[in-house]
Amino acid sequence: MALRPVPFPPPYPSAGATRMMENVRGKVLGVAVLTAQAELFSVERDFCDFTNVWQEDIDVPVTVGVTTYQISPALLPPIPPAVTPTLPNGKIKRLLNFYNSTDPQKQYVGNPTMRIPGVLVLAHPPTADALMVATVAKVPVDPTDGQDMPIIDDWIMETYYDAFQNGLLGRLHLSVSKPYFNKEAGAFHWKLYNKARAEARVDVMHANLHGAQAWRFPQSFAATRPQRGV
Amino acid sequence: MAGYLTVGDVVTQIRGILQDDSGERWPDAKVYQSLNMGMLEARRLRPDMFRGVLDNIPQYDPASDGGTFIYLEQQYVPALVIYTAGMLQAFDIEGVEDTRAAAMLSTFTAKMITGGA
Repeated sequence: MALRPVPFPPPYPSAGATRMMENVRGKVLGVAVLTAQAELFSVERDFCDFTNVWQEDIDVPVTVGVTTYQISPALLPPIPPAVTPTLPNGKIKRLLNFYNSTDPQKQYVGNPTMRIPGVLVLAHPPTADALMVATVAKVPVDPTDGQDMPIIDDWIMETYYDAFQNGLLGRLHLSVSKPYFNKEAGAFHWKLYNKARAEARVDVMHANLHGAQAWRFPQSFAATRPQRGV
Repeated sequence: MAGYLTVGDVVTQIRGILQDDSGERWPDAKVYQSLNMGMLEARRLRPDMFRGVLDNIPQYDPASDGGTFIYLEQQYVPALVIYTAGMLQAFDIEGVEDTRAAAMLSTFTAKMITGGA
């Protein structure tokens, strides 16, 4: 049985992911590449789920009287020599917006719901055919490229490279009964990851001012915490 | 070679440790038997390295698998070599190699679960 003759061939995963994998394998003594890949997948999924950073606009041609539509993200370009796209480019996590394609303001209309990811249900049957657009948040799918590396947009990997690396190091160091278990280092990296994740969430909310409002309320502002003297 | 070791490469290293390059003392069948047991031991100690094949750990056949890439990260191949050599010596009934065999098997475990040992 042959094992991966080349660990990470192009074009997937990105150069950033490959670089990170090399960095982390150099820092974490004894870690198996399969483990690092699995943990990176978990980190990316958690990050995307929390921040909604990975979004896609999906065209939804609505038809008179039809309220339910199955939507899915576009597939990735095929890896040569294949000519047919087969790799999913993430999977839908939640609906963020739903608007008419002719509306420059992209105002939310129709009160659709998406209890099951990918199944769009309109509150009322459309009275006219129209091309609507659903903006969805995505998370990585289970790796299907044969290399077990999670696929995510390159710009996300590059923008939040440090966050992903800290998340990956945190998860690895907190793996109990592994040679690289290190509670202190794990907690340190996980704290940095959580901070970056929270700032990324704010980045996404202020997308038109990317990077200009990268702050968050300190934890002492959290409403769910008991107040002193109460 | 793209940096991956074949089963044949590993067996050659094992034979080097055993000083049995020609296979007179330990025939291929015995070496592969111990090597396969080493793969199972590696899976027990480090299941994280065998995602996807946890219940189907590769087992190698001397007749056909000499050129097959071994399903183990390179950094742990030396541990497998030491285990196999130790296990082969443990099979000896003469007893004079028992201490050396025990030391090798302990070294294998240490290398697998502590990374830097």
